[in-house]
Amino acid sequence: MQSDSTSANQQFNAVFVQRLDDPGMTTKIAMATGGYIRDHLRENAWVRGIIEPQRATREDCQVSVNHDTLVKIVELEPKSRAVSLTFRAQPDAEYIQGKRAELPFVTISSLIYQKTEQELMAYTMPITEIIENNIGTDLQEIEDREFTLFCESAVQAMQAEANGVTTPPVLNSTALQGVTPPREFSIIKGELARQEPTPSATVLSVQRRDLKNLFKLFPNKRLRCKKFVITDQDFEDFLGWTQTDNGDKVQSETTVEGWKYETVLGRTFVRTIKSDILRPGNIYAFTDEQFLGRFYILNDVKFYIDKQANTISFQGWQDVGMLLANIASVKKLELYSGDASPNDDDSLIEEFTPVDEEELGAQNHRVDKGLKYPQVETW
Amino acid sequence: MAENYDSQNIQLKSEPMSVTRRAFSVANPDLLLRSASPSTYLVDGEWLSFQTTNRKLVRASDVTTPDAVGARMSFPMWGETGRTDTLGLSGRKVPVLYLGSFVLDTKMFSASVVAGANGAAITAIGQRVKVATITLNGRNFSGLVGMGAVGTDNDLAVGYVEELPTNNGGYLRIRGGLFG
Repeated sequence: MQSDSTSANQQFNAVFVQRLDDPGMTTKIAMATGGYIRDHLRENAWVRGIIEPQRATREDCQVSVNHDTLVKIVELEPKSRAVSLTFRAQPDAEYIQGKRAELPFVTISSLIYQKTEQELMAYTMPITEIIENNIGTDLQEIEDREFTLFCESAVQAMQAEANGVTTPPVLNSTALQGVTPPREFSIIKGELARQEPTPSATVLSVQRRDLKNLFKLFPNKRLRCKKFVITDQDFEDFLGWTQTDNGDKVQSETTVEGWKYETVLGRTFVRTIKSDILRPGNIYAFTDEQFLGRFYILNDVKFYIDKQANTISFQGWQDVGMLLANIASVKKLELYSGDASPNDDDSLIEEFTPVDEEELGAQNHRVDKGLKYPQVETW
Repeated sequence: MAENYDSQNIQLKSEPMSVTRRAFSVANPDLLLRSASPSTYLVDGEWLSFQTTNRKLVRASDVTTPDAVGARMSFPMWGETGRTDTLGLSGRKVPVLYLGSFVLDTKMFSASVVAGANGAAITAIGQRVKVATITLNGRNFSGLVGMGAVGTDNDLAVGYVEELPTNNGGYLRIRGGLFG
């Protein structure tokens, strides 16, 4: 006998199809979504906690004469300085020239989901509504992935510049223990990682001093760290800090309630469960967004739903643009001893970088392999 | 004035919605930046294939070798050089006409080049075309050349001539989206 929830969900699927038969009808019925097992947590984009998205319109954008794409021109602070003088002297003159950067807009889209109306009736869960609800977070996963890759490119570029080379130097425990270790200018290894005898992908615990050393990378460019992003896995290391790290009060609190504060060592942080995008062992730290870059939304999420004969199609997309303009405003802490530079000296770089887009949204369950318990087959 | 092949080298002449368009990363992202690859940057209308090891795109023919024939499944690049929606992606994806038949006008061709063992100049409507390295304005591109008769030219055909350039404002019109 079907539960009321199951019956209601089937009715939703049936009504969903019926409403698509009515021209112009896209109203959704709010339904309880219990009765199905979820696969994994979903969360909003962590990049939106680092740079708050702003609206952009066509009027804000520039167009090329050679193609039909849009960019927003973002201006950067001009350079200025003062000099000391005698009473009779004059300072040098400088003709003001500001710098600008293009912020390009791209589309982030879901897949095009399709199903026949007959097969839709086979589901007791409101499958179309579930996918529609998940599309929003799916789109934001791509935002995080793109921004993570931009951050990585930025820190590696600064590493190359600081070390006087065109290709960032190898940064693993072997190099750091060598006679002429590379300069850790925008990327720093954790204390435990730098002491490892052999480079590996093993992620070691984040120590309090690791964060302190990460924050110390900023002032040499007259910047201050304001926030950082950390995976849930690495965040849990805070619970392993000792009384020496925390003091009595915080130690007793965290023992009972976990880390409930929004800051660590005076900096706010963003936690993310998306460890296939921000890989464990990587902690990026940022200045205030006014020193960092911009994030614009040109077109917010739109949905397309259509029914042709017995086939339903739907898709969601948005048009956004991100710019990491000041590459000195992002720094990185690596909690593993292996090399994550483009040299990939230890052939481990796939452990440290976001997975391919095709691998996002990977399923946890193994029901299709029969790995569910108890194992029952019905025919 | 010499022909400019920097952009708008192809024009779709059939409905875009009837063609499946996809975007894939290029194997060498520098080919999308004129500053990084001043003499070898990709232009729209060139034909691209997947690498043998992954689905990243490379030119379908070897542009270092004049008249080299493309031997694998290939797609026309449907996006002008310098598009910021391409450069704005970390993976530098370019749009291609991926699946389905289409009709397009292209400047990326050489009517006179005879490429491969049994190639032929482009002379007739209905003639098959294949991908090969062509030279335009002193630069090499991965474009279209004519094929010989069926049964003699066994290279991979990518389309049929629908209109000759002399009757089409200098553009070669082809019906494409097929393999073999």
